[in-house]
Amino acid sequence: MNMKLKLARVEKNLSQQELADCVEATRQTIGLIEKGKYNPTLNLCVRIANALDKTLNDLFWEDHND
Amino acid sequence: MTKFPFIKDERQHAAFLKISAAMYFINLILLMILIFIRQFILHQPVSQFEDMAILMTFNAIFFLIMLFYFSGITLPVLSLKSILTFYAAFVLLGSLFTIIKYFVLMDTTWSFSFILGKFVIIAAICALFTGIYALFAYLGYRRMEKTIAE
Repeated sequence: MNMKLKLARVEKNLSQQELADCVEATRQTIGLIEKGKYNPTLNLCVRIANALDKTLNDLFWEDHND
Repeated sequence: MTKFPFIKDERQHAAFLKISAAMYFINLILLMILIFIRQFILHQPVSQFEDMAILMTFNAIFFLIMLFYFSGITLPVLSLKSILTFYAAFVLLGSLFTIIKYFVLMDTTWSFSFILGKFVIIAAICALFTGIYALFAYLGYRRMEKTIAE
């Protein structure tokens, strides 16, 4: 489960649909990424990071200590 | 995102391509089974299923050509050994198919000249196809290298 993405989205007051519209994806795709059931391409990761004003590391990097 | 209005994002696009590829394989295999049934079970003359056989053959040939060109599969074209291995495997497959067709399913009587004749045809067709595949693999490789260099 990608909690970092979910938290960043909620922090920005965006629904899954709103984020999806920003990054030219579907709500289902965003939902699946948050659930950890879909691996997005780097292009989509960058678009999501830009939309949420975060870096790729902030959203997608998994530290072994986490 | 894509040129299809019903595909909205990359995940749907990937799922669409995956399912399309699976359905293509299923279709191709079913077509082959259908041809075998018509030829060896229903004993229909070739003229009655020739169109299906031609369609299937060209489909399979172009499928491989496209795979080589767009580097869906890799044939190290610069190595003569790999081309010869590919050719040998191709000839082996063709020979096996011919043996099963003529001597198992059609119960043809063995004769040296018949086997030699068939082997020459198989070797020639396989050489032609290996040459075409190697050419397209090389063109695909050059295309890729050009894109990287730009």
